[in-house]
Amino acid sequence: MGDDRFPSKQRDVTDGDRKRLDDLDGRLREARKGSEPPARVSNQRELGVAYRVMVEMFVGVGVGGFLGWWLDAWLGTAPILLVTLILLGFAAGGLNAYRAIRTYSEGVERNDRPGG
Amino acid sequence: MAEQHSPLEQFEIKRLIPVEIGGIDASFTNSALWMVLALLVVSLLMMAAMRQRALVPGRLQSMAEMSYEFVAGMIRENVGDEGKKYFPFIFTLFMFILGANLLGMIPYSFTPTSHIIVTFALAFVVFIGVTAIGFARHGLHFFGFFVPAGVPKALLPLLVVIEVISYLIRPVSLSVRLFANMLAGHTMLKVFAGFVIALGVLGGWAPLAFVVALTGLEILIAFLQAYVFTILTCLYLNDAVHLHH
Repeated sequence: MGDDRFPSKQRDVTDGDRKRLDDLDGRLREARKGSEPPARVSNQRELGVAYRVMVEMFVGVGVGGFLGWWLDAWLGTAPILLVTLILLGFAAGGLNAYRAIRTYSEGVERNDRPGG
Repeated sequence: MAEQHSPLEQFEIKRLIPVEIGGIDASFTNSALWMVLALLVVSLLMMAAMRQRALVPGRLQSMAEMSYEFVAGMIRENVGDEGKKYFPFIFTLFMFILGANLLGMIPYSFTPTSHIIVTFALAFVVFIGVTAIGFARHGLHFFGFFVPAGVPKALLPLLVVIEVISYLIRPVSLSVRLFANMLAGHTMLKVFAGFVIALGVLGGWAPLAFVVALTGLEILIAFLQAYVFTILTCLYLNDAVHLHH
């Protein structure tokens, strides 16, 4: 029965409809031209982003701490700069992590829309 | 084996040809050897692959073309047309890291990218290069990169300091990511391989299966980390070329 109905439906398609479908095909192709096919490794990409965020946060504190320690030793202001720069390093790491996530989510919005 | 000591032994630096220049130890080590090998393997592979220059590529040539397309596409997407002239450097960077990572998967070999000084040197070259490109293209306007837009004046000094630190973090996070991945992966491989011996013929099969799976994962990570290092280089280059986050 299902086999019967399908071809009959196709016969009902008028020339105008076919033209519109062809037109749509063309427009779809046009729209897809710029974007690469969605990456198959999106799960790994997510893991990659998670890992990147983690490293970014740790390294922020580390670099801030190192800069503070170094400047303190140089200027003799221990421990003021160490404490300040650890906090600022944490903020900077957070900023980098935020940018990593933003870049990733922009990429997801751009790539994964057609077909998911 | 009783003589195998520690899973960290694989990372030991050995002097192969001791060299000392002006009191500085510049010995040719196993790390240097495997970096040279990575360079040689990549160069020879590329040259052999492109020797025939066939219109319809063979296996080797299509591999070389795929690597080219992959990196070129990455630059096109992340930097745009201005990125084209930096292609040779970025392609070299990608192939070198990939080569070093993959050669490290050969048993008894050495993985130079599992040492932070190697990855930091690579990241630092990228950092210096990108900063120089930023200054060359924009002059003193490059400092505007550190001034976030649409921020109250009172907060500006604080935010500029944070931006500068977040810029300084880049080479460190870039190198830590690659090095930590390689170090952790290779250590884990050796630890589980140790379990195979320790558990003997009866119990050793489970860790052996795990080591096989882990080897596959490590090969994937070798690709993934080379890719991540390269794509972040592209993003940093994009920041320097276009001056926005």
